[in-house]
Amino acid sequence: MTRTIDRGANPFAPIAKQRNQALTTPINGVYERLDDRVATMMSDPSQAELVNNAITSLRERLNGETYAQEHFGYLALVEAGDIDINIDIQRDLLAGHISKDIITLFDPRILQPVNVTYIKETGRYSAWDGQQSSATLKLLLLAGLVDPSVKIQCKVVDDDLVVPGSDLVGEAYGCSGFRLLNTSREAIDPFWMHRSRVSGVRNYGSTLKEDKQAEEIQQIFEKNHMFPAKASDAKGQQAKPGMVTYISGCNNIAGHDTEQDTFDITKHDLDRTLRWHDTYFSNEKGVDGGFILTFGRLYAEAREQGIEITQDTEDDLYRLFQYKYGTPAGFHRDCKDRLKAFQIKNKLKTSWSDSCLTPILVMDYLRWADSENHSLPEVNHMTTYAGI
Amino acid sequence: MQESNYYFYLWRHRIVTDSDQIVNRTCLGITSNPDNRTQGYEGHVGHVVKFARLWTGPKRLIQELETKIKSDFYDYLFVGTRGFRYEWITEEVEFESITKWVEWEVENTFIGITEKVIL
Repeated sequence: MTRTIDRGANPFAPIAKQRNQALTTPINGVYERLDDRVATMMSDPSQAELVNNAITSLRERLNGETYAQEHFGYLALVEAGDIDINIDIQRDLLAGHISKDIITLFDPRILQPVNVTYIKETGRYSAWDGQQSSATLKLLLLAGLVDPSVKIQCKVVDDDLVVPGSDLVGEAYGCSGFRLLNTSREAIDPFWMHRSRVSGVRNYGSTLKEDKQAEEIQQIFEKNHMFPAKASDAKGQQAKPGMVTYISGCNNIAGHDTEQDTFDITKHDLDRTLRWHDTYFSNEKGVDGGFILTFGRLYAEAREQGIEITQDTEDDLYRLFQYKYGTPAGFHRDCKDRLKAFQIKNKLKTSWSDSCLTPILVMDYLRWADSENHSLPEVNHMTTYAGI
Repeated sequence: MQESNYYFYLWRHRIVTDSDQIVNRTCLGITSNPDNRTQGYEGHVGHVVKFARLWTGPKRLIQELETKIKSDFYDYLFVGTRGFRYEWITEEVEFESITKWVEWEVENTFIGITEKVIL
């Protein structure tokens, strides 16, 4: 009796191809006028309502006044020796952050201006934001990597400037600004980081390791008829076949941003994971994140233990899904339910941990399958979840 | 751990709307006890209720079948006065199309599920 399962060609492949083509090559070009960009957003009634409500609130706070150019401060080039760090406002200097994130990837064009308050009484500049950047520049000046004539770009606000709608003056606005700048930024969905990296290679010839590896991950998506998307694209019932929103999980499984020699090996774990999904569940709406972790870790464990997961075993795993979970998302939900029941039964605190995913799959498989000839690896945490 | 069996049912119901239209809608749902569920419906509608089709299988598979049918027929689920989507497929979709969809899924995706003959 043959064990082979033939699911045929993926009927959704053309859609994934279109989405991937649009990823880094927008149909109307890469530039959109600011006016048009804003107009497009405001043409959506729900988004316009959000913005208009906020503007109404600000208008009330301004109480009939408006902002003039002078209220925004001014840009200036300041000698490093004239800058003081307000250590009452700012956090510690972070050598790890300065080394890894700023100096290693240093590019003077990307260095942000430092936000300072000009103290008229002393004639010095008090920095309330941009400490890590200004310290980096100082370090590079000391190391002789920056010409001694270079000054620090600053956005300056005089300490006696009063602006409409606020009673904060001098260092007080900086104290508030430190918190605002560090908390008001919307977290960037990993999709945008992935797209930027891929675009870096495909459109701008980037040779950065993180970009080239992301582009290889994108090739893995494309090869398996999948496309990356924002998490919000899958909300409600909007997920589409081939849609991958768990980009950070894919990066993790593929070993993104590890040494190239390592990545060249680990990327195949992601490839095999997505190929399995494409082979057996190409019509599923979205590629489940829990599934990506489960199979990615399974293939990694097998690789590390020198166990081959054969085509027959992959077919068997599909049959297990048909009998026990229905779909990859069903498997994920089943694990959540079972872990919770397991924790309650053993009087443990109920909390989700994705560490249980691969052990549960392997244990279920071993219980279910005729596993004489088709072994799966022993995986981490199998004893932890014994009896689940 | 022994899993208890669950049931997925389809029930056809002819409804007289407030605008005096007569329409056939398909109700779907899952339960661990079909008899109790039919009694519940009987209490609402005031007549004997008999499910049109009934399938049984492990709870997880039945739950996933329900999730999938609600996802695939999302645009055809009846929407109530407060915008809530109910487990009723509107008259736009014929009952036969729905049963064929379920039969295909049971045959190809959820093969641990079997149909139960309704007496």
